[in-house]
Amino acid sequence: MLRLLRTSIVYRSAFIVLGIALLVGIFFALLSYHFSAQSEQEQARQRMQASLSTVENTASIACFVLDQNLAGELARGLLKNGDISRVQIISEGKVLAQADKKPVKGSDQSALAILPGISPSNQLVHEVYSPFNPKEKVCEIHLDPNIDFIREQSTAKARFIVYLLLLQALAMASAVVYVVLTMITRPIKNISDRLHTLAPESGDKLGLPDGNEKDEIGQLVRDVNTLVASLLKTLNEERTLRIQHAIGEKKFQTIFENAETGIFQLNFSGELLSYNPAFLRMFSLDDHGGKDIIANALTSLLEGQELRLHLMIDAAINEARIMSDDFYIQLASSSSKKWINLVISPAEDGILQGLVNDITERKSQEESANQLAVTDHLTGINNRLGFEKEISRLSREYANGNAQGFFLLMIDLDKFKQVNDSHGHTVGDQVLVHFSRLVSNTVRRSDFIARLGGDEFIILLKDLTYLEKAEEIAQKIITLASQPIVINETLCVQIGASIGISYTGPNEFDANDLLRQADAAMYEVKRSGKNAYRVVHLNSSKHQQANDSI
Amino acid sequence: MKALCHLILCLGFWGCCHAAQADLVVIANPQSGIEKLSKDEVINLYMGRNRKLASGMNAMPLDMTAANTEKAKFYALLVNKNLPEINSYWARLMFSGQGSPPMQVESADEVMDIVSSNKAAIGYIERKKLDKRVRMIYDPTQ
Repeated sequence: MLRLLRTSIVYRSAFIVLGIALLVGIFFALLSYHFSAQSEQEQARQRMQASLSTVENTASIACFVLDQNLAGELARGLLKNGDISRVQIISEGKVLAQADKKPVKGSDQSALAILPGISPSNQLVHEVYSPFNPKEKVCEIHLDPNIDFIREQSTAKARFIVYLLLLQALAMASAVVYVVLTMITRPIKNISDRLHTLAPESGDKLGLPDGNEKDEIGQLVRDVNTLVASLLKTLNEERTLRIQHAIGEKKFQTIFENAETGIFQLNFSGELLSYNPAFLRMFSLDDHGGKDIIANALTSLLEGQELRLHLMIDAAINEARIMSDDFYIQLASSSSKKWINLVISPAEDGILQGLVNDITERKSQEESANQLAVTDHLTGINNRLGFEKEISRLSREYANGNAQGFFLLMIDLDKFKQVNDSHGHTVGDQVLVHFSRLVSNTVRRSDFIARLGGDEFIILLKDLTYLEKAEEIAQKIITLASQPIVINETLCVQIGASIGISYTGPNEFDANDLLRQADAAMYEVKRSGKNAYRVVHLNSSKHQQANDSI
Repeated sequence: MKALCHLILCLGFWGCCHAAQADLVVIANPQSGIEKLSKDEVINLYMGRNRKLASGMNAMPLDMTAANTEKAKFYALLVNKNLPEINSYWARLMFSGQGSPPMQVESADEVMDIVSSNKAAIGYIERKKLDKRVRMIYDPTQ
């Protein structure tokens, strides 16, 4: 029942109408009971009065002669009137005659009987005068109204009105039910059913219910259609936007997926958050290696250089700068090494985005270019530029104070000019090549050889502090250089080497001084008859072995 | 002459009118012990309310038959009612079996006879018929 009331307009409105009708009905029933009780009493009074006036003559006669029989007859006659419950004829204080109705107990003690409006103390007293003397009162007739009767009458009337009102209420409720059902609920139900099966995508619209085109229901349907249309429009716009967005996403995704550049995101502790396939390819990683491995791939790849990475990250975050640096890395999977260029830029929320490019090729090109610049084309050893770079590098290194000391050997070939002049440049070149090979085979790999030009060579014996060793090497070179050189079957040439040696200890040095000293020593050898070496007097030397020796 | 005729006519007419205004009195036996009765007492006796006299005797009011004009006159005079009303009055009383109307006699002479010979009897006669045998106890003119 309650559920019906909640879910059905028909039931609800019928219920409300019935309720109101019942309340109004009760109100009017009470009102009508009250009035009908009043009027019933009044009518009863009038009827009693009428009865009285009918019997008045007889009464006056009976009282006049005090005729009890006649008075009794009269009283009984009066009692036949339904309105009267008791008749007393009292003459001079004595009851001449009396008649009572037996009160029918428990008859019709309806709820209405307890209502006010009927006072039992409504006794009617009528004075009766002598038939012969209108001034002489002969007796009084006391009439008690029949309350039950009157009550019953008024109740009956009120009940009738109640029944009428109830009927009216029922009729009204039925009418309301019918009206609500046909004019409101059914159209709404139809609209709702249509809505359930509505396919707005196909441009479907709610039809206007017949007869409701101009009223509120029509308005509702139109509003729903408008709403649906605008929703549809919004949906379509959304869809278009979503598609566009997806296309954009796809574009970026495609770029992300297919770029040759490794694109990735990392957090400030250097853990990878996302990466593209190029990134994986670049470092020969695969996705199946487990999350942690991938997450820490970058730091493990840059093992030993993580400090630089973290410095870059800090700078990127704190200074909001785009940081770029090159790293030389050893791939875990293969033995090959790679140069990579790492660009890190701050994104948001402590996330950084990075680009990584494989610059191995460029690096190697650069390197070979550098190599080319510092290489003597003829001999394949360093040229003057290479030497200058190396010496300045060394001087920086020694200035920083992490060094041991080295020997500088300045070599000038003896008799080379004659060979050149007499056999031509080609042979001269062959000689130069031969000599540089010879020197290369003599010194350690870590040592440095350069041709400064013509037949002038320089050797740097690095990290060497023993003069004996240096002298030994110098001697060996002299010995080897003075061996005859076979150019072809018919030609064999011989040269020599004059060597000036200077030395620096594990502290700052002046490259020019060093060169000058070695040069001077070398010229001294030249002057004193070639094919020998001379060690510069090492004044700055703290070396115990460093002294002159011929 | 004309005026005389008028006068005579008028007198005659008055006389006749006066005669119509019957001059009735109520009488009783001189030994009845009743000196005077009020109009109410007469009514009470005649209309059945009182059946006893002051002396304690049962009163015997005498009425006349309707043939006598005195009857109608008497009741008209006494209670201002016509005979049918009086009859109906008694009819009602008789119906209850209680009262009975006064005894009816045929003539005024008979009234005189009964009253003069009966101490309890009361009657009404024309004033001019009064004599020594009875006592006038109620005079409506007074």
